[in-house]
Amino acid sequence: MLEIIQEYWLLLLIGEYPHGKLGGLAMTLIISFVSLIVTFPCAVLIALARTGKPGIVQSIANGFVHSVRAIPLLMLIFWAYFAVPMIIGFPIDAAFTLIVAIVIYQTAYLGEIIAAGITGLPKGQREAAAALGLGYIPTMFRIILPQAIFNVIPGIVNQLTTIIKESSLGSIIAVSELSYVMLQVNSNEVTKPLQIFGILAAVYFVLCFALSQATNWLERRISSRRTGQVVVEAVA
Amino acid sequence: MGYQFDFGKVLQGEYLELILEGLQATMVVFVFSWVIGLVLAVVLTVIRAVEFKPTQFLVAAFVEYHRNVPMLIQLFVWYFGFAVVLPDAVNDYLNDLGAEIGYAIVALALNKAAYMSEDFRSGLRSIHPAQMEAARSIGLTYLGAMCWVILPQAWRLALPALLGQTLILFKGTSLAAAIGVAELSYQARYIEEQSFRIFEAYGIATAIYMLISFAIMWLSSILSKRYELRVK
Amino acid sequence: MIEFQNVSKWFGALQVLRDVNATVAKGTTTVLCGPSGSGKSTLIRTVNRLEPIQKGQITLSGRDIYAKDIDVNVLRSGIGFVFQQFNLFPHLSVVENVMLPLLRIRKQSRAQARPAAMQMLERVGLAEKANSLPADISGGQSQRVAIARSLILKPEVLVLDEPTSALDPEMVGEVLKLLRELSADGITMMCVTHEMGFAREVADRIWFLRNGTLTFDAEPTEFFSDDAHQDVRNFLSVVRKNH
Repeated sequence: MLEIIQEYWLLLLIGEYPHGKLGGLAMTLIISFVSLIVTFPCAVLIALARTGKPGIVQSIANGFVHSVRAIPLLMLIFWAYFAVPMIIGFPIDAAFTLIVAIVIYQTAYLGEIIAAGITGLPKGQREAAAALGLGYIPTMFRIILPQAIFNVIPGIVNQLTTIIKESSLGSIIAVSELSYVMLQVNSNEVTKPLQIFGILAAVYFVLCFALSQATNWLERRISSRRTGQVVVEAVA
Repeated sequence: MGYQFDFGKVLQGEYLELILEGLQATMVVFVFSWVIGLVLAVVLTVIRAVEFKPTQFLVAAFVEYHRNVPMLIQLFVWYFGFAVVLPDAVNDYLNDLGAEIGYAIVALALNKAAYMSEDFRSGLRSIHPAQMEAARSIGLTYLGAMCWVILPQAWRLALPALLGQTLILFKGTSLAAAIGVAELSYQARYIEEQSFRIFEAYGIATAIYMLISFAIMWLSSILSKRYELRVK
Repeated sequence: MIEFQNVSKWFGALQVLRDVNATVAKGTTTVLCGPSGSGKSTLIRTVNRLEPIQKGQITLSGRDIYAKDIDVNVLRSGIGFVFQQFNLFPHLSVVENVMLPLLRIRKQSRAQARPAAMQMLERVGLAEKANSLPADISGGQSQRVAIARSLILKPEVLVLDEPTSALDPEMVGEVLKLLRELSADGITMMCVTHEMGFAREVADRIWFLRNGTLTFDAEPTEFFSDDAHQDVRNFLSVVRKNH
């Protein structure tokens, strides 16, 4: 097992860069962080729509969330892979389509988490803001959202863990992230799949386990400091 | 752009057959993984409940592995990795039988067992210890108390989470395509490659997934309400 | 009926019962009272072995409850225990809660158990709530169901741990009324309570505990008189002030 790591470690970390595209673990992390960052504002909008006044906007948001949750991520990836280049008119790197798919998928789930954070705040917060004469936007952006988002930080970190795991699906559409690179190493080596996939599993394990420990630590710290519901997981 | 929709082409003849075969494979993987996963989850929960540190650690390690490694990679470990462990003769025999679907079921079942056992465990932990006291006070044995008082509450408490895992499992069957199981998304991609009817092929597969997912979600909300445990 | 001989108990290094010696006579009602942490709840929980003891002996109808040939489950089915927090089983209806001991311990059929359970529910005045769930009935009703459940196996003795302390004031009366009736019926009863009015009316003996010691054991007339132990008089003056 050690020989494999010794021989391929650079490939696993950054792919074929600088001779080719960036790949490997670096690619996995870039895809994951970019996805999370792009998802975040979208998720906030969804959460606002779902916790706001009933109407067209809320119905669309609800429809979006229920539909996305009814589709496997893989199907969404296939759609993005074909539909995005068609929509924007020119071919685009597969990594970009992977990010689009993950963003759409996670907007639904992260939106759910943030919505739970909003409804978990004591009702008195909104009432106090109204009593001060604040309108909807200042109430939301200065009082409700800051608290809600702080309370769901553990949930956000948890979703990052999920996104990192979901990025592995990029290997199916030939995105050069960690799993794809490993698959290539496997076809090269042929006789050592157990070690190769063992290493792959171990890398994800270390990464995700560390993040989940961080999530637990964050949950404890935040619970002791804030009122309202601390959200860690998307409700099924 | 000028894309001509032609659903008819996909919904007939051999393509329709492929879709139905894909759906069948999806359901086979789903049902088998679910049943095996559930039974295994109960076993794991019981093992973990016994106050013996080594077995508790093993179960915890099992759970953490399956929660932190992507489902796709778990499939790869079984399909690529485990096959090497078996002797060649066994491998040839299994491959003739259609081994991929077996590996998919094993991988998904073990993964779900890990998540579901955590849900059971959390259900058990949320029961107030006074319930056990009350049950023993009327003269029930430990086993009797578990059977008639504790476990009936535990599964009701775990039910919403278990139903959530059921939906996740159903959608997770799509990953079996990566190891060559000819389930629904695999067939959709195949049809798309053959006929270039991207929107029709993926559209129909997506619609089928959504239909079944909505059915699962609807059933879940009915069952959750019916068996909700109100503790006052 | 119940005898405590030199009973002592420790929680780790902390001694919570110190050499308790006392007797509960058959058919009598004994009320235990005292300040928080005095060990009164712990003492009654030793009767059905919910709390083990490290020293001394407890006998029920002449048998040592820790004797080798005693099955703890048989012992417990002969003792009715009522908790402060009722502890009804939330997944079962009211009548099913009362039926459970008959079904699972006496191994009766549903056809046999249901009428007996309904009869017991009528005794406590809750027959019309038979099919309700515990979450849908009030605290006072819950406690009466709990009492019904504890009596269904016709135990020799009824032990109650602060049965009315978790109830809203307007519901305390209905539970005390039931307990008064049961006491008058002649059941052997041990009850931890702060309800001094109830104690005065119903108890045959009142035990006062402080710091794990049974400080005073007397009939109500003596207990509430000026001849009582100093600790008792101090305790009662505080209790009276707050009522």
